[in-house]
Amino acid sequence: MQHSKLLYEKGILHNKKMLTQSQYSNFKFVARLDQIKTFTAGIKALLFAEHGAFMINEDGFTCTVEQGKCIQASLFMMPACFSEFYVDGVLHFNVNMNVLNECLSIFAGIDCTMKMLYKGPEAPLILVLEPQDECEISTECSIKTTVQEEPMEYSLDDNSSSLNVIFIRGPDLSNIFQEFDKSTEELEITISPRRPHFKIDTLGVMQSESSIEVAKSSDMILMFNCRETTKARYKSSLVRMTQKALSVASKVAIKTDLSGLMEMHFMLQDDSQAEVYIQFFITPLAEMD
Amino acid sequence: MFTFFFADMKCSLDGGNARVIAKAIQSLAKFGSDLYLEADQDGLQLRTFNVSKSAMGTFRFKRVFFEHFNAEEGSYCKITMKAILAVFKNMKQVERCEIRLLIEQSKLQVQFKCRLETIKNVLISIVDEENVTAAVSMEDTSNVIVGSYKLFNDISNNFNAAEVEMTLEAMGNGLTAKNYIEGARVNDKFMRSQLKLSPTEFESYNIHEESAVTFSLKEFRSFLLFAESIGESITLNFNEAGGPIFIKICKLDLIECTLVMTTVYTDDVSMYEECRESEVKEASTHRSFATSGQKRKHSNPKVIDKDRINKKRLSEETTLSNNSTLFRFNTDNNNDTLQSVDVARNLTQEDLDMEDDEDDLILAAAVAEDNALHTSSLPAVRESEVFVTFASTETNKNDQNSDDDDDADTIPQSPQREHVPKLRSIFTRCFESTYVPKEPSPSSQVFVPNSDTED
Repeated sequence: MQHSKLLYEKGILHNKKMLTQSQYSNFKFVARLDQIKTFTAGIKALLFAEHGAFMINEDGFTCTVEQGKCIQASLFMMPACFSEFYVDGVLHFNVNMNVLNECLSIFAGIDCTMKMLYKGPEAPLILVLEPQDECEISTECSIKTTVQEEPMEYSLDDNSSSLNVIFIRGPDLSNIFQEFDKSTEELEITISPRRPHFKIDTLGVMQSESSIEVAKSSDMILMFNCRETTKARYKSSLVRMTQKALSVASKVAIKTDLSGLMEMHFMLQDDSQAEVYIQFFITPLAEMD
Repeated sequence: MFTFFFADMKCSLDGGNARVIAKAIQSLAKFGSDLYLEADQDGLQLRTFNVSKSAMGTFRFKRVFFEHFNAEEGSYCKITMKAILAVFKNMKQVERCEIRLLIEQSKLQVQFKCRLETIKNVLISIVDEENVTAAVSMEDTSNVIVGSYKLFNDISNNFNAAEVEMTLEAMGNGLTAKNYIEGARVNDKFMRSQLKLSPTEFESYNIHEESAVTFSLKEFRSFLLFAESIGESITLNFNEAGGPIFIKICKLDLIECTLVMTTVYTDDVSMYEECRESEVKEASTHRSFATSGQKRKHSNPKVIDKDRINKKRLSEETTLSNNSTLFRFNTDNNNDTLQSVDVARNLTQEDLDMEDDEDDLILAAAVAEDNALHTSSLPAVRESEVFVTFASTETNKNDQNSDDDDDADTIPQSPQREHVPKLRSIFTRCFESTYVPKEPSPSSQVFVPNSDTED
């Protein structure tokens, strides 16, 4: 930044914000966001783990968190989400999520423009935040990065005959999840081509068992793609970790197959039409027969 | 996929009416921890009691309230309020509701058909196949007041939200709502407030027997909430203090709600001597009953005699109320049969005597068994009965032993108690039943005489 400022003062640069070629060559990764609202919401949804693994390449930006071997969540942002996106090769580094969150909320929720800069291994991740209304203020945060092993890779077989995919409107699914008894321990999710098409049972509540079914013809279901019945149980504490992502999602995709591994995609509302989504993998509880 | 069970009771209703049931359950949940559900040919009944069983709320939904209603004669069950309340918490999306009682599986099934083709299905375990009834009837109440929920809301809002009880003084020329009992001992910092209302404020005002009744506000407020939600007026039926008060809300022929509460029995209230109404006239008629060293207060609101002479309380045994037992439970398990107090303690007779004055008989059956209590023998409580009385939270604590000026002139000298500590307790202490008053207590010794001329 110093560099461009000097050039600006010398009159070589007309726009202080403009990056020069020399700066690009100094940094491995430079990106600019005009609005950090969506990005902040995405980061907040991943706050259940301490460290976030960043993976940046030409396809976009990924931040992954894990808890145990039970749940994994990733925030994906396409290069199109950024007003400026430059990356040299593939970058891996870890950042403390709480620190990142604190930096992002340094202006107490006022929407800012942000520039991310990263020079390479062992260099800090630099965030430059400027509130949109006030050009006078800007803050520069430098977050230490570490290098750690890459996160586990989960995947569902896209060609499996038992792969079931449902698209649901976010706010409606959020309502359903909110009605579950807080004391419930396990959730059983059934997806079936016949009635009940999509059913969630709550288990482990004293003196009461409840279930909720949604017919596939319901307006909240945007797509229902199911050939075989799948049924699996999940720890409700894990499912509840998706709550923050769910509360900001406009659309949710639920994918699962006979293995029971559940993949959820939360599409975040973004004005720029570019795709920002959070992906969750939740492992099922072992069958007890 | 679907198993059809034989349902002992099955009813269905639309979303609007389901929300009314939800309101009813929310209202009952404010004071009861169990819900008794009963279905018969006429409709569905929801009922609950408060912890001390001094109030019973009943909601009766008539057959026509439902779209379909099918019930075996006398199907009933008991479920926990927590479980059912969770089901009826969020009713926004509900379009239709079905309730089934499956005695075989000992479950109560509630099914909601919601917006967006969503079905919510809940099975609640039945705790007990138990039903309760109360042996009280509204027939012989002489005072009837009908007023809109708004009016009663105003009355209730006039008092602090923390207020526990309310006194209604029904006079021929108007009603006075107070947060205190006339003449009762109160905390020094207590603020008295009252609200006077003329009979014209009410839809109907029929007082045949002027009286002042004191009852609990918590249950009353929870019923007010329901009255407000259906926009109906409230009917109060009551007699004299100590008898039950009935609060009724009706909606056409569809819903009938009754709240029965015990009212404070004036003898249980600690009074300021000056304010206490005379006992002398009564005393003379009951002179022969004066026994041993026990002193019981008796007050008759009708007779007013401010003679200072009557600082003695007389033993009064004939006016024991038979109103004090309100509800009779035909429960099968009567382990919770409430027995009165303290005879089983290892205390000397002297201790017992002293405590007669100090016992805050929070426990039930107090008044009805007063006599027995004093003679340290309990009557056999019928196994199948539970007596319910209003919990008295105040004591008879204004023993004025010191000034026995010239009371001998008017009333027979009753045996004097030696030094009874001048304890004044407003609320029962949890250790009251085991408390030995001989132990040193901060208030047992008077270092400076009371400078308050009124006391």
